[in-house]
Amino acid sequence: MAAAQAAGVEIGVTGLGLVTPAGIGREENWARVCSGVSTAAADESLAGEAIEFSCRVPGFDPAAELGPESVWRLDRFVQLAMVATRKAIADAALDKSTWDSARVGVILGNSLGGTATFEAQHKRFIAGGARRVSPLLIPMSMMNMVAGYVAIDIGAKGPNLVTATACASGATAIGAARDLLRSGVVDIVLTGATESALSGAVLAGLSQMGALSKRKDDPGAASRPFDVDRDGFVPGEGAAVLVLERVSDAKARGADVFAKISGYAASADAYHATAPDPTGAGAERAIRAALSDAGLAPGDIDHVNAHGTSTPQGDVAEARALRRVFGEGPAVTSTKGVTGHTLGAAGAIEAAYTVLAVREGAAPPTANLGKVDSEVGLDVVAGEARRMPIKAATSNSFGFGGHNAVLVVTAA
Amino acid sequence: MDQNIYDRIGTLLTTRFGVQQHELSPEVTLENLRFDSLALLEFALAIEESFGTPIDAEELSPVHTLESTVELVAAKGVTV
Repeated sequence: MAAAQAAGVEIGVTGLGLVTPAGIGREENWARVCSGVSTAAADESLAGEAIEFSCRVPGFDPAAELGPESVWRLDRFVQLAMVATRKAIADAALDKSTWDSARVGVILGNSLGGTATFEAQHKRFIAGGARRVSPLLIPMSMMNMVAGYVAIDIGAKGPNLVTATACASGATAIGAARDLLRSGVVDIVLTGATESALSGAVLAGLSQMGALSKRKDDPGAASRPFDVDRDGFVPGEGAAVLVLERVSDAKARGADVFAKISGYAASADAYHATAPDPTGAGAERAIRAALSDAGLAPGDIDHVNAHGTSTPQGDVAEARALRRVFGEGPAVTSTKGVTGHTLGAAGAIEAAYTVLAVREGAAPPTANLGKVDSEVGLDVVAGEARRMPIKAATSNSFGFGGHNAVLVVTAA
Repeated sequence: MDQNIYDRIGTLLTTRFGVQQHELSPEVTLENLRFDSLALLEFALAIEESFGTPIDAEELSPVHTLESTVELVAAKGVTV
């Protein structure tokens, strides 16, 4: 397919699988996100760790969902993705018995891999030497294994990879999936991201960086993007998987197209390992490039699902970028107020929420937004979901390393 | 066959490896219990830790039955 021709190919989202702190399944997630009530809570499994509250997937039962062997064979970040993928396929009403499996790709994002497995095995290594280390350590903890295991589970034999751009990994994966579909070498891509890295050493590292909220006496109020009293993010876990197809193919099989992935762009801050460029210049370039890729102008964007992690520096840098591109225009939300920061999964979870915002005609509220930081200067949705027609929206994702990835989602 | 060793291996399989109680019998092979090469290595490690006797990876194969697994452990001089 010629490049000019490929660029015009419309790519649609036909299924969503969500396994997040806001619940398991599309409808449960959307209801919780629109409620604006945070999921952050005290986490008994983190007793004695550097942070003792988090945003966990509620009621996730891998044995019931995936069989008892999944409990000891798979790290939780793979379990979450596998369930999300199954739900996405069901949501899209895809029939695995009739698809051309060699033309089904899997592109998932992840940031940290199976850290709980790694840390547990490292303790065994220190205590007992090499002979005590599980032979499952490597297949359970490597990041790429999630795409491999998902392919095995669903029989997807097309291109298969994991993207790693830290907290932008999910958006990067979806952008890569869109481009792969446009190239014509696949018919379907299961794309999204997963993360479950709520393990002691990882949390200690994040805490030592000063990235985490210290609001231990009131965890439910700790994740408060753009609020004047924010003090860091609340770590979370989760997975989201989207089914992407060419819109022409989706219509031919009678599938419901939720929304289109119409634009994608990425940039690098090239500024600092972990601090965002305070001017937001890198983010701005990615946003403008994504709009250009979609053939849209800033005034066409009705809603922004911001990266907004609830850190003092990050939210302001993003706000500066958004103000320069959009002025005060679109209704801005950070759904991390509800979900916490699911790290490598965040870009995919938020892309899914952006798809739902476009489809449902509602911008979800930012949880815990009492008083907007005076340096933000944006129309941040607070309190309750704002019913409004949304023809086009963007989802921003930024990661340690200076990765910026922006998706443009438009109405089907 | 040493019944005590058999019971303890059965408990390992049901509590650690997701095997159902009704799947256990002296004749069932590890292959029938869905053990692939990696799982066999993990199982060998679990037996080694449970019984405190070294089991080398090559000593266990997919065609081992539970009974022959018990005999392998018993041959190490393990008494329960």
